[in-house]
Amino acid sequence: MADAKNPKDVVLHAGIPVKAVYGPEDLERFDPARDLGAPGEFPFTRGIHREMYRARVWTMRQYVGFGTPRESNARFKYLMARGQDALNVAFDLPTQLGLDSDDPRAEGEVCRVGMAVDSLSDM
Amino acid sequence: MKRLKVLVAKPGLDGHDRGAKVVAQALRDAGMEVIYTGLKRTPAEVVGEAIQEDVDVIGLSVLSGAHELLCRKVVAELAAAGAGDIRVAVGGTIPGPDVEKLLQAGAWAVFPMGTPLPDIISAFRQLAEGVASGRG
Repeated sequence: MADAKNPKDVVLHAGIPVKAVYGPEDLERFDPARDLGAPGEFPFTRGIHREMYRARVWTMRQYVGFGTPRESNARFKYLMARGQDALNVAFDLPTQLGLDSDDPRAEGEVCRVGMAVDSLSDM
Repeated sequence: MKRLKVLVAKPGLDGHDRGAKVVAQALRDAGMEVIYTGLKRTPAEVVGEAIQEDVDVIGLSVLSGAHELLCRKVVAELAAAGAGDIRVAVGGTIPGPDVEKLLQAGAWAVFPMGTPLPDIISAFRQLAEGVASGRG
């Protein structure tokens, strides 16, 4: 437990006391099977996949999207031809919020910060 | 010097309000009375709040690229409501070439990205002095 007399010990905003330094004596009630678990298994303290990045490296993607689907498509192909292996698509704010491009609240925002997609026919 | 009352507003769909809050706090700490609208207000709502609160200045914060249209709408709504004396300042990700456009659209001042907080406070103080001496 945190020692109130040690000025280096703090209490987090959530009310959890935290010591400045921990050692083996702090693990008395620690059950590795329950509290640590195996990689890829609950409670996932050792990663969400068993092999993590040894089995598959992370995907490389840039957040990208231009005003129209046609321009965005050309940019996606350009980036993937140069080694990007996944897409992270930037939509305009009306699309992100589920508004049609002709919604009054969308005025001035259409095709800004990403592409406008109102329906499947825009894809 | 008159104590300015300012409405910091987030018109449009942009959800980035860290800058608006930083500016609001800086103006408050400089002695002004500041009200923040919260996110995603329409120009009509912003103007309605400005009139209800009887502010001297509306500070629009836009980081979505929709600054020009939103500024024009707020200026037009103010005029239509007979509140053309309320100044409109615009801040956010404003590209250099758009500063002049916003001033021509009726903005009193434009503070693009990188504007130091003391510059913003100083512009508001000058306005306050003008208002107090009847030049406003």
